[in-house]
Amino acid sequence: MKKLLLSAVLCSAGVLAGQATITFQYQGETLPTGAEITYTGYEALPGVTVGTWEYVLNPKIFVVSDEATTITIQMESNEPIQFCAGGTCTPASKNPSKNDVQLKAGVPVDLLLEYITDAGDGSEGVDIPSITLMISAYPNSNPTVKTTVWVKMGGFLAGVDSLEADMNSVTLKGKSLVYNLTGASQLSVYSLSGKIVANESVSGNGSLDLSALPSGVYLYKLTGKKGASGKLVLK
Amino acid sequence: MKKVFQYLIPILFLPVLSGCDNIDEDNRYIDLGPVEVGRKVFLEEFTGQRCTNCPDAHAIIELLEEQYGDNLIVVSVHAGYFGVKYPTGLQQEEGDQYAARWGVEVYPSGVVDYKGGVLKMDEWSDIIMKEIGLTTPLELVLEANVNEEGDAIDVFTTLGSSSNLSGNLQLWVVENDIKAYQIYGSQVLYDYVHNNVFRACVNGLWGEPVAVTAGELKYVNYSVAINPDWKLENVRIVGFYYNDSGVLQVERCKVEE
Repeated sequence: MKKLLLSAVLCSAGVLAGQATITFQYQGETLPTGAEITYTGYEALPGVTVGTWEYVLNPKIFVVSDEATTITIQMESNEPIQFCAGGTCTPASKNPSKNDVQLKAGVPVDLLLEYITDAGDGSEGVDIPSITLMISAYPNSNPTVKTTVWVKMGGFLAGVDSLEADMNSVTLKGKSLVYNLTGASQLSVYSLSGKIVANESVSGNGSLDLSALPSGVYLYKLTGKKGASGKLVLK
Repeated sequence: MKKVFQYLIPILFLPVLSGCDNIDEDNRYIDLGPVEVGRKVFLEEFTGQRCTNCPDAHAIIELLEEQYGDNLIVVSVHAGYFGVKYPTGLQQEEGDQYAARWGVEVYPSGVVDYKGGVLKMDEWSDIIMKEIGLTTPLELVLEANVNEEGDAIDVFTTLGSSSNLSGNLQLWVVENDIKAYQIYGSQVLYDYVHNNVFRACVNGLWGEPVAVTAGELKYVNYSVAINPDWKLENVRIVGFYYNDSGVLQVERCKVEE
């Protein structure tokens, strides 16, 4: 009788295992399958050659499973996208995919999606095309249970001159960059030539003293879960 | 006398995987007991300055180098989509050919002793530990110095084996401590320190065939022109002997000026 019960339990476990539910999250919210999000942000990233800038679209989309499992993530896009979830980065393509992304139960993993423009002079705008991206994920043990979301982004002119400061968490007061953060982050300030002129690990409330910098235009970048970037004019 | 190391394999730093749990300090190392070193091990890492996860692989390499010392020899080959081509960056022409040889599609990746195909960074530790305990019939000695004219590095290799061998001897110029651009996550690091960087071939893209007779020493000498971009005090010559069985032995030496 005990053997029968044990067998029944093991069989049930076998049936239930691999029934992981995969979902996507954006800005802390779980997305229903078929959801469409629109991402309007971008970041300016110093290019390899000093004085050049690249523009990066990186919607922070997370994937999570209710059980520990290995999943496949597939994408279809009209523009090349790279993603680095799971420890390795795939070169940008219109159909990037990975079949070995390991998830722990309940722990969201950032897809680390990026669309990156070619480097250019920051003072000239770069036309970012309209991008439509479909992202699907499913547990490898059950490929029929697929979750899909859509992302629309791009379709605007990007450039250092057009970058607007996100002042929700960072404010310029005189020559101090005042921040008010809920978590730890890295605050970096770049000159227009791409040289990093200030860089500090920050958290909570505080300020970064920029009084040693000559007057002019700079870019700041706040990395972290809710990153921000923008242009600063020091007078 | 073969060295015996007590290997502590750390639970390696892999922040890009699904949110690491906090691990008690007492539980951060798994004691695997003593491992006898039978041979040196070669890790060919494929990396790129624009590869957002690659600094994590470099951190793992540092950890492995700390554990194994000179018994682990690493060469970081900048290649592929995430590389930045020389002279702007560190990717040499040969980089893509070496990556294509193994079918490298994602970065970072690595190949250990030319065996087992392309591995992810969290797979290197186990394979290296296994390889380091194996034996090899081949001993390899390298010496290198700047020639009298000061425009080339002369490389002297000595091979000795307890059995007859046929294979290729490959020699590379590798450089440490290069400060250059590296993307890490959403940060750009202009003064990132790159180590073990592949700079040039000494004796051809795939090396040269060298046959070794059991019990006889084989001497093979080469010369490679010095690139003025290299800092000689940071340059190393890495040499390895390989055939269909993989890399049989690897060695590294400084350049004497």
